[in-house]
Amino acid sequence: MADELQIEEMLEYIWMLEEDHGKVESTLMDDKFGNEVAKKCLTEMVEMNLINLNNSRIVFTDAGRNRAERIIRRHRIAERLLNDVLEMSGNEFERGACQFEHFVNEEIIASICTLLGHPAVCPHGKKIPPGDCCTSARRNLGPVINPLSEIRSGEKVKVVYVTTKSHASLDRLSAIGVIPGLKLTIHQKHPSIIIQYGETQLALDKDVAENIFVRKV
Amino acid sequence: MHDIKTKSSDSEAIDYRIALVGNPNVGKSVLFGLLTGKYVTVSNYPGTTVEVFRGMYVGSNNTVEVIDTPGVNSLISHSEDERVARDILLSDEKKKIIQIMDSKNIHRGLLITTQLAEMGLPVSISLNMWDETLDRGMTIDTGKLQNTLGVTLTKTIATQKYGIGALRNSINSVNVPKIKIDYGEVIEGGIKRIEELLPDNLTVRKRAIAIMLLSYDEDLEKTLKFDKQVISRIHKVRDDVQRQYGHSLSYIIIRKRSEYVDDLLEGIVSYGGKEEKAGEISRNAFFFFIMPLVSFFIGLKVMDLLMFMIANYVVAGGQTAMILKLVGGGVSVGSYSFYLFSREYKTGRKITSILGTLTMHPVLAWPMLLVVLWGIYKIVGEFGAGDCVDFIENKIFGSSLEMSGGFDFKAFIPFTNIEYVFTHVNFQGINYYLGLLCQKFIGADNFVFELLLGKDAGIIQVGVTYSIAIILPIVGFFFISFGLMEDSGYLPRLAVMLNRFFKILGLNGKAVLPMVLGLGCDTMATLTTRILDTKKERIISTLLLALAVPCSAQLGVIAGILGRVSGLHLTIYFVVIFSQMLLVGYLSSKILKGTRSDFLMEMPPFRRPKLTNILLKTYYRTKWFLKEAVPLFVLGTFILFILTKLGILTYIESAASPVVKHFLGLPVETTKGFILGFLRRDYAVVSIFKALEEKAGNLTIDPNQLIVALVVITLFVPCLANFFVMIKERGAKTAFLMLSFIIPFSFLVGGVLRYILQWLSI
Repeated sequence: MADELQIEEMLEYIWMLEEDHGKVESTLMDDKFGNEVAKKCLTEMVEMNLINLNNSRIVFTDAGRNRAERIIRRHRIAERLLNDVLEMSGNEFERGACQFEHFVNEEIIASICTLLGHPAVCPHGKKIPPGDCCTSARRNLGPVINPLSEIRSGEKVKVVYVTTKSHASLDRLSAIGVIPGLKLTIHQKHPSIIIQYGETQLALDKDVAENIFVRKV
Repeated sequence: MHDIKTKSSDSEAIDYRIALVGNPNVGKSVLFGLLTGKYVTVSNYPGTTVEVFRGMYVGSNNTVEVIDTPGVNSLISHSEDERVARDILLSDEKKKIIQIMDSKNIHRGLLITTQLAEMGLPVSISLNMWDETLDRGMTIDTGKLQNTLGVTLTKTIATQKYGIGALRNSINSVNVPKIKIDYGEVIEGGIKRIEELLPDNLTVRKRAIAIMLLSYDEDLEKTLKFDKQVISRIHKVRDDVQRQYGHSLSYIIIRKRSEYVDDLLEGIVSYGGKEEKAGEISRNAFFFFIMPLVSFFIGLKVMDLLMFMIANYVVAGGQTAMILKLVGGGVSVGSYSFYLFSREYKTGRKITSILGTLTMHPVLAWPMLLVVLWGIYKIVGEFGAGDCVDFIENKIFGSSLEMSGGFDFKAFIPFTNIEYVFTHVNFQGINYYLGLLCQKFIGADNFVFELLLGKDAGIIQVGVTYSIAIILPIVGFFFISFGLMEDSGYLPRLAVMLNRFFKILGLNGKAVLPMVLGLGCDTMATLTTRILDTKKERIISTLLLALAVPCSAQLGVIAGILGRVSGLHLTIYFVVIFSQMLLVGYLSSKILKGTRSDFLMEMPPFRRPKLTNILLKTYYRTKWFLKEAVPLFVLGTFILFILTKLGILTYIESAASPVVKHFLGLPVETTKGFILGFLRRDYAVVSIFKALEEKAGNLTIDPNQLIVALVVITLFVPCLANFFVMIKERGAKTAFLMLSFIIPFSFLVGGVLRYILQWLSI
């Protein structure tokens, strides 16, 4: 029997292929894991009722999809944590995330997710499947990390991460000094948000402020 | 790139060039003026230098050229300014760099220094606004920093000419800053691989170019004219490196630089000193005397304006009105004082910084804005467009056929009705004397006489007189008030307040500069739409300026005429124009493709404006304006003259009259006014008003007719000068498209308004 880890890796890979291409050919699995391993695992997964094989196409069963979703969620939440909060970079954080996803349980993931303010996308910009904690987040009082737009005026905060849609706006923000680690004060919120750091007062749109995530200090 | 090359080829005598580089709003233009003796518009509003200015270094015998560049926070190009600045640095001229920093924001300045160092350019640094840094109790150990960087640092206060001599000396000892940033193994590897791909004829160090390419500066690839193969290999390297990181490379690179600068400043910047506080006397005067007085006036004025709007419906009994106004004043004093004493009194901040906060306060800033606008209207609309124009037009220029009757040179004694006449000046007007002179040679009905001095379209009598007598005073006074708003730092605060409104129009707060300038002169405002970041924003703002922003010449006359009729009608006028602006802006933001840029604007500190700078700026702007506008007015008058002579005007009039008569419900005689609108927006107003007045005879004018006419003429075509600028800035196709939208649209709005007014029976 193939080990649990191998199966989780495969489920994860199938999910990502489906996300990118919409459908999954079993030949792709051979390319990634090698002929023998792929064949053995796939048969086993069919037995465990995680996937169905239609000719050469791999289709998730409900149980399989559910399980894959949880793995992906663990992986991407881990990425966020390592990248944004622990500020690891490059290979280091990718490797970390890969190990992380296999040994944390749902409960820990839920609390990390809450701590990070229920992030919607991973650092690579891919969607993080929401968990129960995210759905009930509205009732949840004050996660540790909030978008800047939700902080009251007069509060002192520290930037944890910035997620903007485009390179250009991320670059503009960082060139003017808004980068993780920056300590700032919310000067006022209406009619536009104004933040103060050092000797700089910067006015910005709510749209921009929604993408700057901060922690109270 | 192109025009830089052509320029360098024709100037062989030049030894080297000095490029002024720095973040936005740090004082590059002031310094440029000091080094070259040439004036460029200086303002306390970030991003006003879009064009590149060049001038000769004073005392260099035309062998050293100074270049003023747009302010940027990074040399990786995402916007027009950044591109322009970067291209100057990459050009193959021999250069020395003076980097100007806002010394209180030294961190951001040094981020640029790191990039200059990577390029391998020789730099001298000016730590500008040194006074503001001291005021904030900040100390910078310049000696230590100078040793670390190996570059001369000069403390300067450019506006007071402090430290300029030392800065001039430092140009002889420029050095490449000793900065070496290690971007980490992966990125450094990428840099090396890209360096190998780059050609050898680059003007700056390969490392800098490699880093820019890794930072996704794709425009640079075009500028450097790499062939496709090289580009695809570079992209491959970049993508390889990118795969190792969760964030975009440009972001990682900026963060590395920022960390480097953090380390560099460790132990150099400290907040040991004492923050400059406001003097005891001036502070108490401000809190206990000036602010109560000012806020009382604000409350009074706001009530006054409100009551003016609904004047027809209030029993405007003197006493009730007076009591309401006093109550307004009282409430205002109460709320302003409450805010000031609870928040500001104990902090002892400088008065200018208190004002800086107050002028963007969520609530208290609005009444202030209203009063500021009212004040500008009084200065520009009433004094400039009314009194001054009357005097210059009727008395100085006068008419070619009639004597103006001269004027009295007199003095009023304030608060009394006594006026003291010194002497009567028996001057009948320039045009009258010119007319007399001409009549020595030819009769008043001669063709040439009519061409030059004719009452309807004489080039001197109408064209020249109009542009100097009417435009000059209005525009002059407007530029003075605009300069005050600009230099005090009020304009960026206005941007903060109006950002939400501009968002509806598909613009952002930054558009406040062209829009407010449009209230002075749409032609000039259309030129400044360049400061907006995206093409879509530029098109929308150009359209809105042409359509719905009346210039001061027009606004002055309109407000004068409607104000006399009733406050209600003036209000309706503003509501209609405003709603059309919203409607058209909103729709075009939905229809036009492209994006709106994010609103991200640094607030410059509130400063006491310098009168000399404002007057100088007004002088240069007015001069520029006259140079641009007078020929256009003369040309326009000439066209009008030909149209009249050939009878084409009558033809257009008769063709347009059915629409005017039946759809707008206006007398046929007003048609001529609308046609005049293309030439002179405010004269069109006067012409229509006169036509209505004549039609009404002894009766009073129907105010509804007046409103319809004025709304149409406001929305109607921009003046000729504005149209030419639209063609120049946006291209002929876009300009004509806009025109073909505006003309029918303005008539449509006028017609609909007529029926609504009828239906409401106002």
